[in-house]
Amino acid sequence: MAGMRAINRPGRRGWLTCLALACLSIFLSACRVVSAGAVQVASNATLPAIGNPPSQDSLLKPTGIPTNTAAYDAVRREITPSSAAFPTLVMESAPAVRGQRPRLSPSPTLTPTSASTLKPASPSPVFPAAEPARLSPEDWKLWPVIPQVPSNARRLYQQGLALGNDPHAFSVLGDCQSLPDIFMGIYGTDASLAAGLPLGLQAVVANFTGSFNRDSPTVKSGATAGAILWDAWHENKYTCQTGETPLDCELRLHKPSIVIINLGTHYETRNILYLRKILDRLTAQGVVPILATKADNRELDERLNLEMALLADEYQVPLWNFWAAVTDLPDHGLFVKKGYEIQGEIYLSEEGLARHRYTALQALAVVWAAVR
Amino acid sequence: MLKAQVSQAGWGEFAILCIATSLLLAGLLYACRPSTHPAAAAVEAYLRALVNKDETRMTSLTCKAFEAEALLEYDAFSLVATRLEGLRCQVQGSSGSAANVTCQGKIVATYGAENQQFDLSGRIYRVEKEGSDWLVCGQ
Repeated sequence: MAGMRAINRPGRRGWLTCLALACLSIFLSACRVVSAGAVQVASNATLPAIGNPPSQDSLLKPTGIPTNTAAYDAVRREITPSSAAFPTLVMESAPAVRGQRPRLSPSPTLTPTSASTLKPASPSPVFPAAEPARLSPEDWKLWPVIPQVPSNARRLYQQGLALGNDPHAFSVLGDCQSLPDIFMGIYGTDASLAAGLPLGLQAVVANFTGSFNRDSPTVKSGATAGAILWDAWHENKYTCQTGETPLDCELRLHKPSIVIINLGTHYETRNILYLRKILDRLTAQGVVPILATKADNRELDERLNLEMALLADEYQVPLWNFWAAVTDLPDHGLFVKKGYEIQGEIYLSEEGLARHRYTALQALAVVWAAVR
Repeated sequence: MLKAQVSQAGWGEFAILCIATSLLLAGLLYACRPSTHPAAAAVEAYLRALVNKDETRMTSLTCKAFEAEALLEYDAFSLVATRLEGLRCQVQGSSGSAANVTCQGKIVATYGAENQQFDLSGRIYRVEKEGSDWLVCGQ
């Protein structure tokens, strides 16, 4: 009897232990199921529709409408300082250490530098009564900094106005070096700086008020041409809609009549394909694109600047040859930014940035004058 | 002495019984678990290939008709470091050879010290079965 009790007592404990282990195993198995994230699939559930990709817009062909040369020549005289001086922003100190961007003084002042700093790699651009002489894209390094404006640009502009584009709005497509506080925003925020500009440029600043210091879905750090066409790149900010590309969002919100395409430092293998899509979209909307070359040669063979020249030639649109504006600067106006070493020598020094914004304004002025 | 022997024998039997029962239950639950649908698994693999910058793998998981769009997203991330956080995809609707898949989580893109986050929860991936493979065919 005593032996039976001895067997029974541990038996009850054993069953309890067994039950506990079973519960534990069930619990562990349940956890495994949840982590798998599986969901029962209804085999005959209705599939919600998913939109088709937008159709590709057609390319508008140049028609050879003459350039408005009188206004063009007048503005060209006005945007060029009489002493051929080139304004730069005075820095607090020269960049002593590579990798550190010098700071701007709180109230930048304009100081002239020698005329040679803005001397283009080729003779000054010629603005003929009709179509400007064709420049060979292969010789893009010899193209003037300030663009020649094909007559197609005027045709696009006029078409764009008829479509509702705003003659007082321009936009920028670009990466971090196109952000307003680095690029042209200062023209919209510093009245004293604007007042010191040549008259032709003052007129540009006045006409495009509201476009210089403006955040937009088409300007963002690390942006590539592909990113401007990817419908999630805007992160649903700026009231951009789901499924809307940053470019389409910008066109809808700002209705620019001119767009500066300042892309290329960040590129991908299909860069030119995406640039074509961007140009197709802009020209179909009657927006005048200003293509731009870049100062860096991250790709090592300068093919991205060549692509820009090829596209300018193919689409008959202006090219702002920024590359040629910084040839005389140390390291081509570039430096390696601290904390961004992996990106390489792609960031513009303070003097490079000054030329960037100023020659961009000149390019905008010349194009605006030619298309009106 | 006898009491101790009987007690030890009892514990041994119960222990074996418990282990056997636990294994049986775990096995049953594992076998009966609702597994990740292959369409959802395909989307997860697609997104992993995207952030790992594995173009070959990514395009192998996409329909030909969707390839250009997939590459556009791939190229948009070409010069930013990317990673996935909290990825979990599930099928929302299926009709045999096609399924709609939604995901939770986000793509984090880092440029220098700047982080951008791309929420995946608003996307619906259309996945289709081609042969024995599930491919991402739309978004």
